[in-house]
Amino acid sequence: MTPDVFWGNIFKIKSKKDTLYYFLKSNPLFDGFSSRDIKNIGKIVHLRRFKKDEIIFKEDEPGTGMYVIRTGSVRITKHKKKEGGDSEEEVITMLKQNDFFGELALVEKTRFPRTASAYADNECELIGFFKPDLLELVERNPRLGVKIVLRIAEIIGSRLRTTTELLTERTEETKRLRPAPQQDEKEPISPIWNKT
Amino acid sequence: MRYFSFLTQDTSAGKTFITLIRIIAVLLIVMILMNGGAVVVSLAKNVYQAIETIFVSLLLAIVLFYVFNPIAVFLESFNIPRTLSIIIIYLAAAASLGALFGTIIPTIERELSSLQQELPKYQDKIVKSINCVETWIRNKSPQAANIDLSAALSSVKRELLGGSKSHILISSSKMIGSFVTLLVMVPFISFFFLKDGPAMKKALIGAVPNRYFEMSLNLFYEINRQLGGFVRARLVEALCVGLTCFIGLTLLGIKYAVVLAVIAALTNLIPYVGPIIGTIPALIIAFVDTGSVMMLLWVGMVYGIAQLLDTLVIIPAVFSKIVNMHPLVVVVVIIAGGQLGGVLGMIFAVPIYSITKVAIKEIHTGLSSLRA
Repeated sequence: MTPDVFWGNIFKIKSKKDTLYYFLKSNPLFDGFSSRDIKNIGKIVHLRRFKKDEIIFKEDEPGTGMYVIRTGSVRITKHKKKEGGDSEEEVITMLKQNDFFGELALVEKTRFPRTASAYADNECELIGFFKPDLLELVERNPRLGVKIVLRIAEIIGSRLRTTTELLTERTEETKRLRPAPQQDEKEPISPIWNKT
Repeated sequence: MRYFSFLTQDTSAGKTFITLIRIIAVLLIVMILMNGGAVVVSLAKNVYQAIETIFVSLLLAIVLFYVFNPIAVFLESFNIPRTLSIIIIYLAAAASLGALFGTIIPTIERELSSLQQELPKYQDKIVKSINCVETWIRNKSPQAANIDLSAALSSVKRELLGGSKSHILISSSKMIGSFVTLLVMVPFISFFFLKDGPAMKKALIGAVPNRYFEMSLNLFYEINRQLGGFVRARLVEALCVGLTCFIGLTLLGIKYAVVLAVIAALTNLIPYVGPIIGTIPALIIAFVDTGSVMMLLWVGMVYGIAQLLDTLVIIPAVFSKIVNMHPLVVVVVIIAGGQLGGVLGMIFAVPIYSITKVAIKEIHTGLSSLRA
């Protein structure tokens, strides 16, 4: 046993990087938040540990809040219907440390069903941030509440913009691929009262 | 056992939970010691009493928590730290209590001692009135000759006052002891609920398995919201009814207006049955004092106006967010509560029913979505 290991075990100091405060502070989600804000957020979030392949939430379940990945990775899946009528789960994306998901549940008025399922891809630690806690925080500290809601709105806005761009791209691609209809094949549109 | 791992970990949730258990253990020991030297002789009885006192203390501390928490949250929104907010509330409450003891309490004390002196007069008048009714019934229907209302009344009186003077003395000294204990314990426990409530909640919720976590969080939030709203609404209701009765009775010139208003406010906490119970003493005093049926009608009208105000203004304004219950369900629940836990049971029957209803609804929704 080397002296370093010996003394290291006796004076075990939790590394600054291991603290929840440091994690939240360094997460892009809370970028620009003051130390006091981070401390207050730390009081309302929940640290949850998941085993490999454990369900975090399932598609169509009512959602309550969002999760930020502290360690490990998360698999997001969605049921896709096959031709025979059966459905199978398809992996949409893999999320890693510092990524977050489920933020829509924080701003929706009623608890809408989750649009996809989330599984722990390996042993992971997640920071849960839930709507009831956010509502309480908004009452207790409206300034911080507004800051968080604005940040979530920014994220949702940016994701919506990406989705819109993607959708426009796909629509144009579909138009390009679809053969143009012949002129004589077109049926003249006549008003309904002319059809006797 | 992994669900209880938070107890062994060096987390704030685990620490708070352990602190809570320690506080309860210390309270238990203090209660056992405070309940007298007869601990060895009747330990079981004292432990039961201690648990009962702790239970009542906890119940009242929860009520106090729900009254003070919105004020603490309001102060916190001005960037005042939570602990300081709680201290400010406690100081304000102490000042208000001091003012109350200085003004209203002496009036109540004066009225109560005067009522105690005049009680035989009221008793005589009531007995005379009952005798008159008895004679009238006998004259009208000879079959009812064996009815002895006076005897029934004396048996009711015996039941109510119960036993010898020494027994009353012991029970009243015990009552004062319990009152002092509650007066000290309730604000003490409530202070910790207010200060560490969020951490305690986090610790409790933290023990729930991952799969049921979101469901439990929602359940906790809904119960908290409903219970808080219910407690505050009932207190506002009681205050308004008490004030209305006090103004009405003072205008009518009825004696003991303050005591009667306090009785009306307290009995109003029992839904449906309470207001009727609260009206009876006022009607008796009004009838015995004035002997006029017209005055009875006026007093009835004052209590009726208080109830109308309660039903038409306060309930729609304050209870709009509280779960709706059918009146028949309310009555059945109150009767069940009364049978199980006396007056306290009647007061807490509706909130307990409401919590159970919310819990079943949330668990059902959660479990059905999990099953799907």
